[in-house]
Amino acid sequence: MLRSARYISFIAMIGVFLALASAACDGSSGNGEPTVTPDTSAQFPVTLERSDGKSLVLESPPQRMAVLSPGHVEILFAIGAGDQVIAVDQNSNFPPEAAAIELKLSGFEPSVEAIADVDPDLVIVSFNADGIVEALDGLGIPVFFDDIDSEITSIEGVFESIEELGRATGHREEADALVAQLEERVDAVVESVAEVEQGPRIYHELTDMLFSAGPDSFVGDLYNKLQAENIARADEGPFPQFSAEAIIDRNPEVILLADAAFGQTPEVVSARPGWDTIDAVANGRVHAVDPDIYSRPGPRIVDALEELAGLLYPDLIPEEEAYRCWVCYAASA
Amino acid sequence: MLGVLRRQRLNPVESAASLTREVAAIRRPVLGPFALGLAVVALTAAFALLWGAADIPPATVGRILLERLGLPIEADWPGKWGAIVWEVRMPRVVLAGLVGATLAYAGATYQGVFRNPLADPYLIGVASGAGLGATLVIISPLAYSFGPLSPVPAAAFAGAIVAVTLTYMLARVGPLVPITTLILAGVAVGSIATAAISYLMLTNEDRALPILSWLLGGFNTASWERVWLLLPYAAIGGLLLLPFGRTLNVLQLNEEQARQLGVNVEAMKITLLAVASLATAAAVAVSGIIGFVGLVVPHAARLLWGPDHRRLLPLSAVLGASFLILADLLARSLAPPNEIPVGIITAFIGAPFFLYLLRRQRRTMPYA
Repeated sequence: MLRSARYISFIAMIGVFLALASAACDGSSGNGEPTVTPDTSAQFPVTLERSDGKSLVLESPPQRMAVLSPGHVEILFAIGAGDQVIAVDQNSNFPPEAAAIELKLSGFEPSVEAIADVDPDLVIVSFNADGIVEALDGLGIPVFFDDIDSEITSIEGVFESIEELGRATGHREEADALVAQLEERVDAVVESVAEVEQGPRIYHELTDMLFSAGPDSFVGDLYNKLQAENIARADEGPFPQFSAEAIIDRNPEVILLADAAFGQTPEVVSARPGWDTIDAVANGRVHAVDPDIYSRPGPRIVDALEELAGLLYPDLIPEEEAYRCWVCYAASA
Repeated sequence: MLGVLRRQRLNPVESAASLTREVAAIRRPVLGPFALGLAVVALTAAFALLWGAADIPPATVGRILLERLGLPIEADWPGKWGAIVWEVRMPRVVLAGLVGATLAYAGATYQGVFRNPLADPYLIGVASGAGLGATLVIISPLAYSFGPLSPVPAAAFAGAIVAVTLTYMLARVGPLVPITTLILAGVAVGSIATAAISYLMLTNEDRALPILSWLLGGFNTASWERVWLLLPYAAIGGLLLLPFGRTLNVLQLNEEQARQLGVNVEAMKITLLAVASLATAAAVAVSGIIGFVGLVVPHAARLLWGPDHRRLLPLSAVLGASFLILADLLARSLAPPNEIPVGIITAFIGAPFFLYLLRRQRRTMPYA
């Protein structure tokens, strides 16, 4: 019996879900600067600022981490801290070594008991589901609550997050090296589109109910960097939900679909009523992209940027040089 | 009407009171309020067509509509405007109206059959059954295999029918289906389905958002295709229920009296619930689970125009249509280009309006 009250609670939950789904999306806020003790000789203790305003002090590098956030998992494995991860959440499907970890916990409805049972020396969560942070605090289990989903609003924010995790896990040098390498790749992409004065109008679809990513979101920053014009305006919020007619009216020149999980493909979207008048549909510029890569604040966001450059500027970037996602994604193939 | 009553094997003594009420009710005409209701539907629909995220002049909207209806008018507007008005706004308004009307008359029927003010069309498992059907398809590989023609509405419809049938079979005691047992069985089946949905969402976290998105419902993705899917069920359901206004009136007596008035109570209950459930299942299949309409609109109609079901059914339908068209208009225009889930709107304007009616007409409120 899904009656009104229950229904309203569903509505309340959608916000949480959106945050989860796009979880991998945002850069760090200005104040999310990793606060680390400046003592570089002995890198520990390290103090981390949590998203709930409290501090967490790590006396030594954690060796048994339970990480309930796919973005964090990708970063940890990329900076060589994968060996220190003993459990991940069910959505952590990359890299393969992380997906292969047998201890899977629920990030959406985390169980305190299940977490305590794996005896972690650090738990990382990106959102405080059901008061899990306080519950773990109560048990004396160190928990790093790092709300990257809403705090990260740019690619630079991801880099800060990488450096922060590097310091926290004793992989400072690897993290710095990774960031330097990623920055170089970002610069190269930005360079390649430097001549562009006004890029195409784009619409980035997150769900079949037409949720999108605005310029002030982590996903939206990809388009900012590529000089594209987002049909969502900054004052419309980071994740606006459009009506179909608003999209038709604003007439995007390229449509990027990150909602294959909702059964949406370029074919399906092109067949939506009235969408045939949209330039992107008329010109066959509707592309499916891998939501895992485009919506997680992890190192692969630069892959997304490189792929997008090719999709938005096929004339500028020769086909053979265009980046093609190396985790082959059936829908976009 | 009196003739009909006479043809029944009437016990004049025991049914005198009800007869008096019936006669009094007959004198109050249905056509007037119904015409008024239709006019309100037309007005809300016109308003909803003129308004939207895209800034199209009202005159142009009118000319686009006339042109699409076959009048020789030169299309001097941008092509996208034609698409917005005819392929986005129009089916959206029509679908909202149809769903609103269906939920409202089904709600009135449910409240009548159950003699319970808290009954709504989701009472015996339609919504949770539809939700489970949709969920099962969304987590399966099937969801991708149909191209533009999604299998989700069909699965939702099937889920609703299965849930209601199951409820009915569980509630049956020999040849009888006691109302109380039916409600309890409905609650149980609904709870199981809801629990199953929650479980499937948690064990398929990557599909949780698509499932929620479906459950929330709304008209953001309305299309003519969905209108055509719903129309037969909504129209046939409404036409089938319409002649049963009097039967519903008689069912308000105790079942013994109703039987003496010549009503086959068991058969009637089942017929009415089956028709109302089928129509509701179709509505839920195309628009998701939209709360409050089926609960509040029949009460509003009853407070405005009295408890006679012969009037209540058609008037609930027109009121429900206007209400949901208006709610959807607000959903898409309060914060353009953002959409607000229509269920939030129906609750926000439905509840206070309901309370206002309740306060204004405290004198009689059947069932409440």
